Amino acid sequence: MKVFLKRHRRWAWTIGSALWAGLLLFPVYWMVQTALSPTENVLSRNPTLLPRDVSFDAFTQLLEDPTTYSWFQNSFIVMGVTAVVATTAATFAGYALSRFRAPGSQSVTFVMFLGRILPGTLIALPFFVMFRLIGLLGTLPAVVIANTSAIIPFATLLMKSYFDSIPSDLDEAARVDGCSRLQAMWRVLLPVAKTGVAATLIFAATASWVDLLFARTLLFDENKWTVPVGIASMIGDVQVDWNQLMAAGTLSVIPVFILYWFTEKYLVEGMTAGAVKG
Amino acid sequence: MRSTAFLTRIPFARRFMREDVAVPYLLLLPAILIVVGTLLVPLFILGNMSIRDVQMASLDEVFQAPLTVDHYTSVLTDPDTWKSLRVSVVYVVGSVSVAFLIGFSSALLLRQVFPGRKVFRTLVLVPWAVPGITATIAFLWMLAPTFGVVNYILRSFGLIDTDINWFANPDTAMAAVIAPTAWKSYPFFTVMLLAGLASIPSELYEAASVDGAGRLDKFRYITWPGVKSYAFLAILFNAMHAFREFDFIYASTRGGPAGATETIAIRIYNEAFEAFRLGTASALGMVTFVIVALVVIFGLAKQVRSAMGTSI
Repeated sequence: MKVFLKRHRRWAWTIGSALWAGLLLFPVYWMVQTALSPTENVLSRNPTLLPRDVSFDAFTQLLEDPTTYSWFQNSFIVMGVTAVVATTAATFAGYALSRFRAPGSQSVTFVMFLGRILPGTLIALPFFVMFRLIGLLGTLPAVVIANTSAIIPFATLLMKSYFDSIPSDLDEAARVDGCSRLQAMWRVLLPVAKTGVAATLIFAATASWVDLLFARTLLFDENKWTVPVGIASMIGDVQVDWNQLMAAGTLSVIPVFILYWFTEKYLVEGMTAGAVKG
Repeated sequence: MRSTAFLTRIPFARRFMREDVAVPYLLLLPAILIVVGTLLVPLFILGNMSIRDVQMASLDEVFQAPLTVDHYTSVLTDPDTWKSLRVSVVYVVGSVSVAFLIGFSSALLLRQVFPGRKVFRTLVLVPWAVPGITATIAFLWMLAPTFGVVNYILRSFGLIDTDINWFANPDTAMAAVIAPTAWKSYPFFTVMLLAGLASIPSELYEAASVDGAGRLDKFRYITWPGVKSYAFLAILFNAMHAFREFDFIYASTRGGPAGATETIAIRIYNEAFEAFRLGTASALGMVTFVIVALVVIFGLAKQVRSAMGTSI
């Protein structure tokens, strides 16, 4: 036995990890399992680990309903616009904070940091008033603006840490060759910081895709809702259609999983870099 | 460049452009505008609403409403304010410690060299990518009283006789909202602590083995000191996150039952958007802002500075 364990120790770790990962991912599995079960099998006092029958009814019902379909459309619009605007602003600001010791840049960072700690609900209330005053309340642009502003602080710190990791000799060399500061950034630094820009873009896309608070407080018409608001509305006080709810949850996960799958490496690097080095 | 060529005739502007004095500010401008427009202006509006008698119907004349200090007196004398502060502390400490334990265990496991390690690293980090609302409904369903799988498991092991209504019972509601919160946030600890573990030179462990150190000694004298600073930062970030958290609690209990899960963040929302007491909500928001600012400036100044980057 002892010899066996010694020889197969590496595999023992594999089995242990498989069990651990299985336990940790059970909530996701259970959601998908329920979404794929026919409604009559969902409400059971003796649930089975594997689905007894597989049915895609819950998914087709969701996507055929014009209201639920529009939630996905709205979410994609908010995600796309927010990601591009936030990443652009964060790239410029991150470059400035990384390369210049301008007076006042420290207070900019501090204010950004403060914005990350304050509860979002505290900001959502004046946003509600502001957007009402300028007539944007109840529209998707309001949600885009709110999300962009919430994302920029962290995205900026992320980009700053990427620019910090690039030796400034590189832009000095570009300057000697006759580039202006902006040209140096555009032609020399950005190609090097490509992965940083990608990671920031993914971060911004994910953060706006999952936003519940701003969309919940700034949108009223159910055809304008985003996916998280729609899902929250499906949790009834008395009765819940678990089958449909889990199907909506499964669909909500797919876009982020796709983004995450392709970019996990950069994200992990970016998150640790952003957090450790600031 | 041509359109700005005339500027170079003005001595001040020439210096400004040649030495790139303006460039950093121009680059920062979009970010500054957004931060001012969406953080400082909102705080100004919030401050105004907190000292004025505003109603939902007269919201457009918010700056003309009569002045009052009633909102502050009612917020500061209401025992529920301090209760929600306590609830916030319990929620933050609870979710951060559970996430830390799961995240650290995962990191220690994934540090080992074994077949399939990369696949498992990706799998273990998956909850990170799950939207908060989706994590919440997954746990709402698992913890559902009659048909939930958790109660089913407890029933089949004979641990409970009657089903527990996890989210509706005042004794279990806090644990129920902590579960999805910790589940979504543990991958952050895993990533940070894996980075910390990778920074420990393996020679240290070899030397310790030569000296006859046991597993526990190695953990205490090598592993923990090596990852301590990473762990601290991860705890700080996660605590900040849990303090401002909205999604999990709003989607499951909305702060109930009887305020058992009503954190400060949720209380502000409920006051403003459920009870429509905008003035009280604003005053509560200002009090929270002051508390956060004091904690950041005095309590965590050093840590925050290092988190923001020592070079600035």
